[in-house]
Amino acid sequence: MALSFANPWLLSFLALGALPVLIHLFARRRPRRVPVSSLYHIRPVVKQTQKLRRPRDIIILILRTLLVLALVILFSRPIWHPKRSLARSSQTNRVALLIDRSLSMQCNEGGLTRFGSAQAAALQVLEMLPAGAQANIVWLASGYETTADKLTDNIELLRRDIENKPVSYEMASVQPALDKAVELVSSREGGQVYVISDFQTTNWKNADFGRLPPNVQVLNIVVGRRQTPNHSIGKVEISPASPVAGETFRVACTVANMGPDPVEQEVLLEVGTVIRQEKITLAPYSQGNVSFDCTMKKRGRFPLKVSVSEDNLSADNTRYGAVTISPSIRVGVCGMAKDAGLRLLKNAIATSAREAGTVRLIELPMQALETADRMGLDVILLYGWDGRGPAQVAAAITASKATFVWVLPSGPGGARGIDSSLFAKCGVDLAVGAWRRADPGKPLSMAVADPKHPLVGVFDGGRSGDMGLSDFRGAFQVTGDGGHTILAYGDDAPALVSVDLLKRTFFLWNIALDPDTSNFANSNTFLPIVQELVLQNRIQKGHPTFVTGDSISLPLPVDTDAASLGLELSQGGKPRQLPQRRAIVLPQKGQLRVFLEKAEEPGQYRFSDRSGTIHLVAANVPAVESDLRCLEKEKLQRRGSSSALMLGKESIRSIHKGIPLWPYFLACGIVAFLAESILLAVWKVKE
Amino acid sequence: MPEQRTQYHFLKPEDVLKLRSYEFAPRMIVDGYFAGTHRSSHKGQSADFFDYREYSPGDDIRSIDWKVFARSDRYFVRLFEQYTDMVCYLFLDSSGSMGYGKPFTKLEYCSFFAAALSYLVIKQGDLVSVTVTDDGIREHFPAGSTHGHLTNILNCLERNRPGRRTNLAQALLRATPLLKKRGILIIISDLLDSPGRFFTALNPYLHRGFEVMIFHILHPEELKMPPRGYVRFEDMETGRHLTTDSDTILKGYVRAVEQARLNVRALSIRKGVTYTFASTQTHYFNLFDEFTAKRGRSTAARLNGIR
Repeated sequence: MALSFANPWLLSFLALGALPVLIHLFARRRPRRVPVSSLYHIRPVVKQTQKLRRPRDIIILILRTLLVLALVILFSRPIWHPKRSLARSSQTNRVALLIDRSLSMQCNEGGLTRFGSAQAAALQVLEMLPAGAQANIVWLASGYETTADKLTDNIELLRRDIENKPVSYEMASVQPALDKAVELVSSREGGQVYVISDFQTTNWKNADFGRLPPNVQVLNIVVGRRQTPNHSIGKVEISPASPVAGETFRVACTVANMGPDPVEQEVLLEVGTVIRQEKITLAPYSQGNVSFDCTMKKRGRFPLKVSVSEDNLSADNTRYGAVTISPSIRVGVCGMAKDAGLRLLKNAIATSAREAGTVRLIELPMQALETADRMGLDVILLYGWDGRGPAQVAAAITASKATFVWVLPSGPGGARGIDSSLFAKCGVDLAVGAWRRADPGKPLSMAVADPKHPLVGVFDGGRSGDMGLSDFRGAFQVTGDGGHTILAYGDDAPALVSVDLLKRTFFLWNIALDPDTSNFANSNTFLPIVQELVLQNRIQKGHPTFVTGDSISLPLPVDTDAASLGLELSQGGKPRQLPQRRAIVLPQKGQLRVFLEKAEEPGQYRFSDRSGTIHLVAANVPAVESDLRCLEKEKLQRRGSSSALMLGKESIRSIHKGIPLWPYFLACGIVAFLAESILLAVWKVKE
Repeated sequence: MPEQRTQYHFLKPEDVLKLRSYEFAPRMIVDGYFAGTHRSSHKGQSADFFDYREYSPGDDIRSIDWKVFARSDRYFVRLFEQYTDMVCYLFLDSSGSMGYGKPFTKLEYCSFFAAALSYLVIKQGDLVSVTVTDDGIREHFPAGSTHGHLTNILNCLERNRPGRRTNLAQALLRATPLLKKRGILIIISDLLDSPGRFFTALNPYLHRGFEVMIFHILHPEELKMPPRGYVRFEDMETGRHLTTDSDTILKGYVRAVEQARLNVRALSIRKGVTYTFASTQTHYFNLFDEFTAKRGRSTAARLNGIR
């Protein structure tokens, strides 16, 4: 804190303040001499009146002295610098403005957004710069960008940039931008960095001001209220990710209340033509989950939107997504052993298709395995494969996205047995050994090994039959710890094993289906386990979601008409055509890809060509920006280095020019004068 | 030998001429030793019959009214009014405060009055005693009725100057043994002293039957202080001073003086003392007029009551 004077030489006139005192004393010491007969009557009267007179004299004296002092100080033009240190002139000549344009700056406070306040503050800072000063702006968002490459004296350019720059929907990545701003002014002369931000706790709590060079001064200008209530939609999950037409799917979303008061929110789901609404009550600074069960009969890609009522920050009140409704689950069956077991397996899948209407059985010749992905198969059942040739089987297993179920033969499998080297090649400790024949009088029985596994959930409480009722005359020996046993025989030998193979789930089916070997395929537990295996292990064809500020890169089908490739952004209303240049087709490893440099706004991005929609992806605002709480002043100061200051936006002018105090002293003088006049008048009337 | 002067400042020949038409008489019955013009409390030889009283042994048989004896066969003696001389005691306050005033001081004004009064008393054959006081007795002239006595009094007045502080109470107490004969006690003063103590000191005189008369004399500027601004008041009696803005105390001062005057007047009425107030602006002859008028009314009333 410092006080300076524009006309300091006038301060010598402060001595005039003694004038009223001197006049007072002078007047008192030179009374006229008046002899009186006696003070007998005078003394008590004087004693009585002096009681009132003395304080009055003192008050008048003080007021007059005050008046003189106020006038002298007024003309000395005092200027108060509220913060402890003023930057050196060399520092004020080199200025970097770090302006936060992250999503939280969109928050509307009292009719003005935080970003609007930041713009005003930045313009004020530019206005304060001395002639010849150099400056630059570092815009803070998920990355940073600067207005000019280095410090520039083209202040008009900076001013225009401030006026025209839009606020972003991105999160703030503070440290790189701060480092850049410091780097801009780091030189021998030093400089100032004005950080204009809401100092949102979630983004700024880890910002490090401590490594500033000694000749760099950081001035933090806070433009947000410390606590602004906000509520938002968080994560949205669809389960299953790619439901089939007619199948009930669940949309679960998180609703957050980032305010100090409890709130009740109505959450609205719009997916295709389906609209659902749910209410949720949230405690202060908490989040809750809302889920919607939906069924859609039409197949296709549908945009999804979950929203709550608008508040101070409207961008995070809506979350976008997309859901693809498939016509059916495509199950390919590749039969390598033509026995009764295969027929029973196909029957089971066909029955599932009839019952649920969601499964489609596709006979898959071995030669077609390679094209399984193009056929859009979700699950491929390899029936009776002994683990050997043809080569395309192993290649298909490793390349395809579909879930493979290796159904082991219902017998010894020939003289060479089963070749399970596939697991070893993929780094899985699992091996299929020899056929183990059961004692004829003592057939093998099977039971659930992991009751918590989702596949066997249908057997809880005996709802879908009892596994233990089936008899097996033999089974392969399966060893190794690389799999997870779901069903097992009585001697703990695995019957159904799930394996994490090349980041996909792979099932090893060691359950004989041939009626000569077991009666399992005819039991009432067979159909449910096959159905669950198919339903739960289809390919999750969910739509990728992005965060605003991310770049989007998606593969394109080879037959895409790149020339007609278009991009639309939909935020619930009429889709908006984005400029063509944003979608660039890049040939990458012989594959066409569409690339969008940055998803600047939240919404559904639809890439399409003449043939129709190719991709429908959603971009959402970063959830971290929804917490609008700002760093406490003290914490921010503690975080700062010795040269970091904390200022309100209203005191920007005072950084350089200080606060002129002459109006206060003028007011003080007027008050003293008026008070004296009024008191004298009142006393006169009283007397 | 008393100093012989042809003319006195306080009793000029023209004043003597004017005083011819004045008379000074007590409103009470006095105790005198010699035959005079004033009715005495004692009954004696004179032409004025007063009353009858039954004879008692020791009475002069010459005073028996034989005609009454012839009619009633009882002895009655005749009582006659006795006329005697009067003693007038003048107390002249000569304290420092009496030196205040222009063109003449309060003391000068009072001296004029005292001289005229003394002349008047002696002229009608009565006795006058003068006591000059401040905080005690500065000079005392026992009662006398001769021309020489008057000369002494006048000489005393001529040389008299304002003295120390006013302490009339003290002076009165000290004078008690000096005033042996009952008479009229006249106090001429500005009464710038505690009225309580002053009237307490008067009690022995009142008890002895003195007729007390107070002449309260003040200068006009003492009654209404002119605005003088920021001044230092200097006490003429004590030399003490007080600095103040006189304008601010004007109203309070006038109120205080008036209050003090009313206070003395009220106490006088309660004690049966004749109180006369005058400022030095009025001629002292007016005092005689006012005094005579008051006395005329009260004496007549009193005498009627006695009879």
